[in-house]
Amino acid sequence: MASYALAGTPSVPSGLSPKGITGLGSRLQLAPGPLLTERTLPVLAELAGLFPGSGLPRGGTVLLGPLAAPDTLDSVSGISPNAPPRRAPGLTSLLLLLLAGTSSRGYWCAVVGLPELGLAAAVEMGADLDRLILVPRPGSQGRWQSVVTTLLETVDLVCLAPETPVHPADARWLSARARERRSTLVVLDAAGPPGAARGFLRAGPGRAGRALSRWPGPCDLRCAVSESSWSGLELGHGLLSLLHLEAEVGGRGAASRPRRGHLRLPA
Amino acid sequence: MSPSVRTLVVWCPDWPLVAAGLSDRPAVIVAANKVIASSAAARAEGVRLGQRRREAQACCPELVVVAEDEERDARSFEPVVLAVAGFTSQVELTRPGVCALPARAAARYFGGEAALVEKVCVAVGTAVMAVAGRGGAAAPRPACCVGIADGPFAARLAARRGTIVPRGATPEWLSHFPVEVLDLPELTGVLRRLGIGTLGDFAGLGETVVLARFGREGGFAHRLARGLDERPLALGDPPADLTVCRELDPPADRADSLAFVAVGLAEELVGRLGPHGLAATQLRVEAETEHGESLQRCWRGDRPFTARAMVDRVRWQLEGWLQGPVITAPTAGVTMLRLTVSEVVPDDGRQMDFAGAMAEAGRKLERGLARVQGLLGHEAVLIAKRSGGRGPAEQIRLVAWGEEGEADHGVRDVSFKAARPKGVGERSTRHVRVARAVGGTRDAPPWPGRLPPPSPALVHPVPLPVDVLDSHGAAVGVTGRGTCTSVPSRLLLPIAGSSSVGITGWSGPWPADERWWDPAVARRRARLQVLLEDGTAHLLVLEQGRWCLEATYD
Repeated sequence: MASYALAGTPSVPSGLSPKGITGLGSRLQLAPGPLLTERTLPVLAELAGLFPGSGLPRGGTVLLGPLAAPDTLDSVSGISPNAPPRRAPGLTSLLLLLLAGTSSRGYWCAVVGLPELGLAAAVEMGADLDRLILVPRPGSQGRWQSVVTTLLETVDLVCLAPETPVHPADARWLSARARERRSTLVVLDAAGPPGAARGFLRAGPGRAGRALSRWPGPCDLRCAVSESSWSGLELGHGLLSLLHLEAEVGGRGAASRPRRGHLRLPA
Repeated sequence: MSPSVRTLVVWCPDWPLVAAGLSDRPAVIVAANKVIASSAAARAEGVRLGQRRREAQACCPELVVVAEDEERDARSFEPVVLAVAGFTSQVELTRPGVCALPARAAARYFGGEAALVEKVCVAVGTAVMAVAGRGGAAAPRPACCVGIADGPFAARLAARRGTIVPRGATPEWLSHFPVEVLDLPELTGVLRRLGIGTLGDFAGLGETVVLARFGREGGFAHRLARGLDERPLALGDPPADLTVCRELDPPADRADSLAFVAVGLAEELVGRLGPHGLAATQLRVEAETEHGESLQRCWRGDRPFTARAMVDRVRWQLEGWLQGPVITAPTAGVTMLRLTVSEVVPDDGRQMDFAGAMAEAGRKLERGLARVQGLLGHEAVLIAKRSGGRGPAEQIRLVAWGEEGEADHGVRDVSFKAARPKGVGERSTRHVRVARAVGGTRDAPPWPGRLPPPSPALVHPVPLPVDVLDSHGAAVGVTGRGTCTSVPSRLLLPIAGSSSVGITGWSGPWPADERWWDPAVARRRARLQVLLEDGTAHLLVLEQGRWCLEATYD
């Protein structure tokens, strides 16, 4: 094993553990470029079974959002307070799991938008904060596109959480850019009016706008959480301790047959 | 061997403190938790450079601690440079607080070196007073020091002592200084152990012997000790075209957008010099505005400029110009930026070490992020650090990318990130810290009363006010003993059209009475985990009788 040989040599700088060495190969190839031979970015072992090739496709666009196509969503726009939520809860946890899997292996990730991301939770899932670039306020129309484009050229995985619906031309451009630079674009697609997707309680009927996907562009993979529930908390005692997620991954090509999996967090 | 240039150096003591308006009280400038500059009042209390922040505060409890800000220093130094530029057009900036000019012609014009020094002292002293007065502080005494000697290195030492070293007497004058003035700790450590204590002793060694034993850096120090020019002249023809220029359309009026343009220019320059094995030690930055105003400054580095160091100089200079006093500030946007390399030296090259290869790869990352920072501003690109705290928001601290975070518990410095160039101490080797592979919560100090993991996946930057009601519709409170006044059963969002949602599970409250010893920052809060009918779980916080939705377990 190369890692053992390296770990024994005296030239290894102090503070670099054998675990760091194994990730070194990937760190040395930080810059995404055509020379990279890997076709996927790593994900956590629990998620590996869900993704074709056991990872996120390099150069691909991954949509985190409802599994249904946008027009189907539109039909439930007259939503009642007891109707199923617009955005399945648990999606943020799924995003954090993806970031944890990628960043902990030494790849650089960036999150554009989403100032409310709970990074303490990310650390608990194993994310490496030193590999996580945050751009919580990417600016207004006309500016965030260049920010995302630059980041796609710079880091391995860019997560975009659009505040408002993305223009189809922008969406196609960003997907093409990701493919060209072989970095992965993850779009946290929150259907519904702004604010409804903020993880506050679901929007009431007064706030329901047209429930459209904010990402009208192409996507290679579509990840969704069909069910999520917390356990451990009772009336007046207990603790939120376990999150059960039913995740589903569909998409094009090898992923055309959707794969489902049950996740328990913390694992 | 060409004789050294007669040089006049203006040195403003404690410049960072003057720029910060803190020169008349005990204050220090801190970078990476180490004191890098201190005021005279702080030194009188026993504060020393290189001390840790805590040690300095222990010496002097009323110490004002300010973070390092090179842009502020450079911006405030601009009026001083203008004052010096009244004497000669050939002002060279070494770093904010120190500038140099060739003394021969000016001394002849102003009636001798002593007369020149006096005039410069008065002019610069007035400018420093004005800068310090703007911050409401008195300038330090002396406000500036001026000295003349052969060569910039000796002139800097002469300025510190406020003397004029007679022509030709520089080697003799230098020979009494301790080797520490070379500011090369690794070299002087060895010299001390070899029993070589003064520059005179060091200069007495043979040049070839020094070069063989201490390499290029030692040879360079040896030249300084002998009072020679800092660098031998570059051999061979330098490339003809060492000017790069960029027209800006539309004109730029912000220093950071210009700095972004300068990144490309600087890399082009370094790229042109590279094939010739040369590196730049002197850089001329020129900017022109729409209305034809122009500004040019010459920067000199003790060590060759890297592209990044060039960009820093451009940014400092343009900050000083664009945000300077109204009389000198340009009236329109900058339309042209030109960088010229006016002095080159053979590039020593640098040996890529094990971590260096990673740094090379990381440079691409730095460039990309610098570009995003150019688009959105420096503070827009963040990296998270772990910090201690009870609430989910307090466990994470966000720092701007590129800013050296203070080393604290359980926090690593960002790997691949080169230490920011520190003016005169510019090193061609980059300090790269190799990331330690650390598990998530290792060596985090305990926080009694902290919420147990898992942490919420969404932490709302602005908590949403909510009402927590019991089964009779009355508001639920938390008693001083840390229990709920009644059983929470419904949660009400103050949004028009939304009804209350039933609570199917709750736990807590977790009281947190923090910083009660300091009324200004004291916070008393209680947190409650709730699970709602719709399956969502939230973290509520009660402060001063008001419930807020602080975070969501999504």
